[in-house]
Amino acid sequence: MIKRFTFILLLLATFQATGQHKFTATVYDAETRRPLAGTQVVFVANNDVRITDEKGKLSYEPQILPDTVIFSFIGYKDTTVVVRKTQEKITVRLRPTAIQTDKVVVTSQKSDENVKLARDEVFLSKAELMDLPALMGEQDVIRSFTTNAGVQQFEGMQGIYVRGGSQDQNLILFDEAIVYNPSHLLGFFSVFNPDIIENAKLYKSGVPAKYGGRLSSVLQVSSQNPSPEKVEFDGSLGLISLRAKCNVPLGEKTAIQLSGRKSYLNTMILPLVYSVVNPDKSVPHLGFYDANAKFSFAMNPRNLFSVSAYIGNDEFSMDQSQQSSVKHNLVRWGNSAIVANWLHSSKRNFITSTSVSCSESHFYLEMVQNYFSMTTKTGISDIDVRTVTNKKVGKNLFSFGAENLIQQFRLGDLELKLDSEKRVINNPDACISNEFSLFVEDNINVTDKCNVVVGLRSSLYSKNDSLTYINASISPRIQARYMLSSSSSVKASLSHETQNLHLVSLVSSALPADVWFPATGNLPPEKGWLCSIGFFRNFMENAYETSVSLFYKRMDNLVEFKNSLLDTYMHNFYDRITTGKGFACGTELAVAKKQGQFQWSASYAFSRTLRKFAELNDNHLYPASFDRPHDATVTLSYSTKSKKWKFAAYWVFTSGKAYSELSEMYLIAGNLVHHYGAMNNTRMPAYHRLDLSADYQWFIKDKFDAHLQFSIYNAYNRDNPYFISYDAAYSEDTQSYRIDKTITGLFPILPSVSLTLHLL
Amino acid sequence: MRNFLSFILIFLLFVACSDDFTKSQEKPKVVVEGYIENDKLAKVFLTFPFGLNDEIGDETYVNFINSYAKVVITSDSEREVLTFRKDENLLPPYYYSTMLMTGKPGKTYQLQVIFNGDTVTSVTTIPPQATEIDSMWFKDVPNDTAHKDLFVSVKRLSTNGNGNYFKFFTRTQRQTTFFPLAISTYREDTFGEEIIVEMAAGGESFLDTTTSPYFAIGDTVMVKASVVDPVAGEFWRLYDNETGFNNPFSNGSNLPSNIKGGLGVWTGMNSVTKQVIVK
Repeated sequence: MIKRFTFILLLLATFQATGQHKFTATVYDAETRRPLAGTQVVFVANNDVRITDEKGKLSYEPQILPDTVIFSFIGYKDTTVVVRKTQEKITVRLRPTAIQTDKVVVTSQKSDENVKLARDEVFLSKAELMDLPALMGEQDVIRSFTTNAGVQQFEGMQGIYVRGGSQDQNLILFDEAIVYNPSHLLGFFSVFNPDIIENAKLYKSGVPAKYGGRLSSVLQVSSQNPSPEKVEFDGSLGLISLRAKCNVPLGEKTAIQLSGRKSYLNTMILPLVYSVVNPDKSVPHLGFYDANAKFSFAMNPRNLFSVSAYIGNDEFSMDQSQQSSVKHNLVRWGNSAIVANWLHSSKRNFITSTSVSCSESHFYLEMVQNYFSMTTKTGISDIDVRTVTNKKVGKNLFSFGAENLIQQFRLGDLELKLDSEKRVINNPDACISNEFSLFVEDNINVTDKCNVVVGLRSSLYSKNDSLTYINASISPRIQARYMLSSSSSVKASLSHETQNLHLVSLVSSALPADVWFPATGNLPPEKGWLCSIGFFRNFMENAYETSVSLFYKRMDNLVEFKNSLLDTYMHNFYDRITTGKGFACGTELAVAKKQGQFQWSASYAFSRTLRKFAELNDNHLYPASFDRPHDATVTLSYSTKSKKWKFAAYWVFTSGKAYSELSEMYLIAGNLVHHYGAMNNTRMPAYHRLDLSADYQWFIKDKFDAHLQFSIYNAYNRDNPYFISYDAAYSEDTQSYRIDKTITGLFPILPSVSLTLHLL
Repeated sequence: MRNFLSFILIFLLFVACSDDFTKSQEKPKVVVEGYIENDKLAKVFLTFPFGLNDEIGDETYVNFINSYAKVVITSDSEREVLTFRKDENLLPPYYYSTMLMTGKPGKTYQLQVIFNGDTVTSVTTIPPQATEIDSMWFKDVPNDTAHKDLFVSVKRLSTNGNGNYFKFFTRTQRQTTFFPLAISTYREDTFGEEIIVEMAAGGESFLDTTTSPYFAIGDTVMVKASVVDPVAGEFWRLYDNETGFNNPFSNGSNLPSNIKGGLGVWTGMNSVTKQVIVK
């Protein structure tokens, strides 16, 4: 019956589609004025859904007039227009959900998504990103998310830590490709070039069913589609890095966008700063580069293709022969990814997004100490195919699809050298795992006040090498939002996740030395339950946002290295790994003023992240190394009325990193042996830092939008501890040895100035 | 709303705990380093651990030597109270030694240290079987014509290891005692068909930063290959990791001691020695 009815409708549509009505719409970003390719356009009366092309345009011949047309794009507020006339041409400017009203006058009221969205998600638009302090000449996506309570990033560490989860428990996606290592310069910059970012979204809980495989969160970063409208150029030159971006139209429907960054921290600023503030300390060598390319092609209003690629590499080395027993170390790491996306709108109003991506991440470590040296090289790569279909039916928005992820793990060999003689500890050859997942989700507007999202993701995981391991898992999730009033709501979520890969971090090391492992029979998948509840309240027509949230997380099958990685007679890394449990709970408080010339936000989280491993710490609970109970951030920004000057400040405070304090030493066979207290029983001094920035904007002959940006990282030159080492030091005065504790910091005060030009 | 705020306050009280849940640490009182070897007198060094602010020098190191303990070794019907002795060539230079009792392969030895009202105990066994040093040879050292790199091949005791550990020492004509290699302890089952070990000499102590891993041409080198029981062998293997590399990747774990009530290790060894002149 349905088929026959559809056939009649199609016949009718074919018969009537003779060009009586021609509707043309062009959709732009209200803030950047760039065309929004891929915008969903819903013709309500016609029950049809289309998408805009590369130029943000859509031509359509509606069968019924008048018709209500809804324009929607992720990260933007929906806009509804009523089409009454034939041959109508309209221009639609979609407003980012968090855009400031004093920039684009669309409505006098600010967005209230923070209250109304069912999910506990943080959305970052391009406009919001650009309002952040431009440290070293650029805004940073990951740093911006750390202004939210419960999201932490630590200087010298690679990833982010969300609600007590470790860095590997975050799924980080760039245009749907997995990014295993999201940071440059030990967390100083993220790998996401701000020039090309369209928006970013962080799911702290209640992750959509289309994403899975991680216990903690999902960070989804989307890049801008290239515009076929005109040639565009952005360039920035500063004391620390340079970057450039260009957009080149290749035809009416195709365009390409290229961008790149390169740092030169060691050329000038770091040696200069160290010579002034840390003359006795060795200057660490830090450097990175990255490049992005994106190509897009709008075949027709129902099909949009794009290909996006990324490559980036880092190098970090420290020579501490003056300060520590570690004489020299070197780390190189990087990511690369390529992803093809196809957005398709069917005639039956199914919107399907299909992506095929290949990602790679690698890590190389070299350490020299006295006669000894050690090198290791590890990595991970994947091929991921994901297809997601959305369909709106009445009060339900259904989402369903499938994903297949193939991952290859390169554990690498550990090469130890004693002078010229070499010893190699062989890890297993590259092993491959496969995870096939099916998912379904329904977003239901139960009543005007109540919204519920119910989802289910089921996965079949297998790993084949010397031993075959197969694991099937089901990950249910539910989120609900209830509006207490027009400006306040309560949200709650409960979810279960399964993670089929492990990351072991050598936490006491000074280096970002991480190794990815697949789940096996001996190292089963990590599993976790996460529940959260939050109260959200806006004041003064959404000018002020406040929230209070609680969360609890329980995780099983977490992994840690036993004793040490460097064990002369382990067969491979697996020998040294042990499994245990983790618990995290916390309270998050946030308040923000997001309107007017003077804007500010403050957040505070109190949380605990604990571990319990049978083979560690005598099976007693201990704090995870990244357990930092107190975490506070404050941001301030002020723009002059003329908008020429913009000042910003960012202050962060976190409890110090937990570590196992060396309690005493003893003599065995003429050598000193360390004896530690309970695991992670001590904390380094608290971490706090103030960053300042000032931005002056002017126009050069109406051809360039120019910005001169001044910034100071670590404005009061806090010597935040990075790692602690112990060395026996001989004193001529007392003719005796003493064990000295050395605390090494990483980044001192770093002033910077940069010039950014945007071709208008 | 009031209930909600009350819930938050209760929750804050719940989570605002300190790190008191971590285990309490008892400060170790005695550090034991004891050896009993086939046909050799037993030797036990007793010291105290020292803190980060303690100074260790020629005049102060005696403060860390435990010279007031009663040390007893028992094996079957044999029992002997050890005598406190001095040897300036050792670090530390004071130790307790048997006067009569020597080690016998296959026998188990109980160690008892009584100090300040506390008793510290341990047990070790001298493995019944010794290895044999099959051959020794040298390799050139790159860019160094004055030294040679010494390699030793020893006999397997079993095809699957059976939990055996080998520990290697060297001693030149300038030294009065054997010193362990920089990496001295090896588990038998980690080798293939042949057991070949590079005799990379370790320093005589942590104060010695000049010892080369290679041997000067013309030196007479005595090599000692000892078989050690699994418990003590695992201690020494991890000890190599801790001290040989001053392991920068250590995650703060302590060495697994076989001393009940103290720190350190009580080691039974079945040893053979062989001499070679460096050419």
